Amino acid sequence: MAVDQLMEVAAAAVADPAAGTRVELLLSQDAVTTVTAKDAAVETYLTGRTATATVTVSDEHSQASATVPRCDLAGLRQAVESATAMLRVAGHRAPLAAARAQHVAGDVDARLDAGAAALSPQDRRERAIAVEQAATAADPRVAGVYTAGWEDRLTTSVFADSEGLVRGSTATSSYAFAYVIAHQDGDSRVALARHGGSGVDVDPAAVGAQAREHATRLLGSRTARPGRVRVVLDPEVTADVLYFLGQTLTGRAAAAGSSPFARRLGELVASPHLGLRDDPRAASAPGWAAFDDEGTPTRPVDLVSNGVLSELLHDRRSAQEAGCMSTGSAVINETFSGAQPRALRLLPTGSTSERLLADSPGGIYVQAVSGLHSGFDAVTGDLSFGASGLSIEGGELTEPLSGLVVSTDVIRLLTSVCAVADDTRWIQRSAGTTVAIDDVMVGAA
Amino acid sequence: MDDALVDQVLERALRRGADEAELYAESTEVSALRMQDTRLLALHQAERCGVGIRVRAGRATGFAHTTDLSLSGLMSAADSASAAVSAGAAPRAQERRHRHGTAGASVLVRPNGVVETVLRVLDRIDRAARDETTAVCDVTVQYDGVDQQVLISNTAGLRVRDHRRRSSVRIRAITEGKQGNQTGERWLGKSRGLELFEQWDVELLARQAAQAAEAKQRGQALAHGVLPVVMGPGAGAIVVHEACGHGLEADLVQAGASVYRGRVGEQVASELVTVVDDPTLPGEHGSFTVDDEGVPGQRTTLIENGMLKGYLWDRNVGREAGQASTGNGRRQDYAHLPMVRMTNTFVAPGRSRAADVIRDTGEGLYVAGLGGGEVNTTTGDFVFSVTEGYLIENGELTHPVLPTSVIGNGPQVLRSIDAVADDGRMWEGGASCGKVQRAPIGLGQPTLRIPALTLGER
Repeated sequence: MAVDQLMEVAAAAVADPAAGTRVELLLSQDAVTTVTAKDAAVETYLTGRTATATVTVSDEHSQASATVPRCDLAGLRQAVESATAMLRVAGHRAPLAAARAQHVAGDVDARLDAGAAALSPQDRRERAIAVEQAATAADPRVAGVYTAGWEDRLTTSVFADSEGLVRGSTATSSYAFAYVIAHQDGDSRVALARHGGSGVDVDPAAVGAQAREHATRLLGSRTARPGRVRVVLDPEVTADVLYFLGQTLTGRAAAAGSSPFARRLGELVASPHLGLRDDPRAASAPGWAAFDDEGTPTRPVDLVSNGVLSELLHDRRSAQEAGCMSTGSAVINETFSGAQPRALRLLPTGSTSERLLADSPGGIYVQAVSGLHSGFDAVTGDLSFGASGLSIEGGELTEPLSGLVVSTDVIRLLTSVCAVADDTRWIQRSAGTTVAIDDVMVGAA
Repeated sequence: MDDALVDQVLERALRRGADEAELYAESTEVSALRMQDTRLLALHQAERCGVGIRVRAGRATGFAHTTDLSLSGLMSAADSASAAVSAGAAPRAQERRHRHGTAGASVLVRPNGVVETVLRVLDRIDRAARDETTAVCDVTVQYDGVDQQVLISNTAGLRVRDHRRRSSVRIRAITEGKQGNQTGERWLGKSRGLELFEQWDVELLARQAAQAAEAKQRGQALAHGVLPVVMGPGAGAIVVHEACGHGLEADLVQAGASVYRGRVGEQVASELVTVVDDPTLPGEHGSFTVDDEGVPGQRTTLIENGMLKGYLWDRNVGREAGQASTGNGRRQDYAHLPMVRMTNTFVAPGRSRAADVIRDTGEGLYVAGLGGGEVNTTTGDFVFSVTEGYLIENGELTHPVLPTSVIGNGPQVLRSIDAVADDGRMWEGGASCGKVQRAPIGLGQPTLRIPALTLGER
């Protein structure tokens, strides 16, 4: 269905709530194509059409939500009934702050990349093959790819509530990826490269070439001496670290004391020149959104400004409890309901990646990490992960290194950042940037 | 979906020519409740319903998924899947063989009673954690329930239905003290309905979570170094899952991304080590009757007394290599292609006594809880996070330690294991593996000792 038709159906579905309840509805239609390539031919060609509706019913005490895989009026009304029935079961046992919508009149926002919208199946095949060919080309050390390809999607979202608000948006996004395997003299190395964007702004060949370079330059790795050193994070690594860091920067976690940023608003929590922003309206962010899952308009949220913790991410309810406004960061899905970043990035400090490296007399360039998901304690902020990369000597990358373990905590990490380069590149919900950090403990197997 | 409709869709998928077409239909109900500080933060029920159609021609695969289950929606998906692969001769569909299965135990409480029942369980857990120690300042309990019915049919004649039920609860207690805020966690997850909470003492798990969080307030930070490590029973199996399990998945082996490639028949681990993958274990988190390609689940011995016996296969990878599937083709949902995955993976019990293993270690680290990990299958290098651990001093468990990471190399660690106890058991907490897609898994192992592992430093 087109966005205006969806808005009409959504408005009808929420129009008659049960007495004393408020109903919100988020509709999403997603059309995705993912193509992977191997040996210069298409390996898999995947297309998907998904419709999802999430209904949230609330009263003065509680809220309950139901998700159904359809967008027709009968199905949506059934979801409203189901969520209302659950709300009755929850009863008054769960007093929560009442949270009212922050209404902004609006109709349809769009972030459409004309090139992406016009991609043909053949265009997509060529893009996937371009990633794979660049990943393997002219280098006998490259054994092949585990996966390499291209993905693009068109997402239509509609929000409606029982107080008369209806909003819609459409957006394109894209993603290229390559996971390359390299062998030489009995040694094997792998590397993953990713780049996300709004559409054809993603260069498939550049992603493949990066994965190839990263896999081959790790061949012949040795371990390093343990110690405290300057660490320079590759953009791929920075994006992963930000993804996990974002989970701790919510008002809900801070209020519960389950975040290293609890009770730190207004305090210096990072190097004085560091800025960290969640910007769901960034032009090329894959996580672009005009409004969040509660219908609140999104906006850039400066979480850290000049090193000071200046704001946290809020949905309506956590905002109400904290006495502030929602930041438009609500996410509601099958397994999660709360605030999350959609497009988190570090702000450049005026350096290029080349200058940043040249200004590093020694240290370790961390190119890839492992175990970040399990090595990050979102309550204490402790951070420990496996790493591989290259030695930095005299401002240049030299020997490959592996079997490293980096140990720190997020406050210490942010406080020790000495430079953020201007090579920002979106991965998925966070952006990669070359970052230099001093005095990081690096151990070795 | 009735048989006639499935036949119609499969015929349509073959219309342009292909080697085989497969239909995977799923109807899943998901319930999620999250309680923090006695307040219900999330009360969510979701219905996931969709169809994925896979068409294979030569080495190419076309795949289309849809939530539009009307005849036109399904035909459109079949067309998309078949258009994606190059044409060949259309095969005749084979006569169907039907099979039905149920992986989960019977559900004592019907779905319309889920919310009331779970709310009572969450309240019990919350109270038990708070009553354990006054140091607890926050308790979060998350319940997830999955009731999944699948239909898998292909043009080679297979038609199978399976019914899977899983329930899990995650308990996190936070204490406030001289080490700041520290967490203690316990998980419970099985292929069971809500009867799980009658069969297991969830209050005991809650008290253990509170005790673990309190113990960390007395925790010592470990310096970077190399120590003997004793892995406690149950959860320690994540080491084997990461250190060798992923490297034995045939998609990675065939891609040249496994350090175990070409090593079947070789001694790859200590003779004390036998590793098995078994989705037929009753009620375990990674159990099923048939995998997501319709192949019956089976017990696969991967390593026997240290010798590598074989890999895990799905139909797709097996077909190219001329190997039969071991029933390890799994997918996150109808919108994903199946891939080779572990199920319930465990280390078989040895002959030592756990107390003797600890006593003989002298000085080292005892790992009681792990937060997960990751492996580079190409090199075997792994890292995992110790969330609950204790020093071993003079052969006894003494001080709790603060969380740390441990790194090592899978093949080296497996070869070095020098003690395996007789207390093997499956971990009660159902884990979820994140190899590209999420998949529920079971883990198990007895107490075992690794003579030297490298620790990170905080």
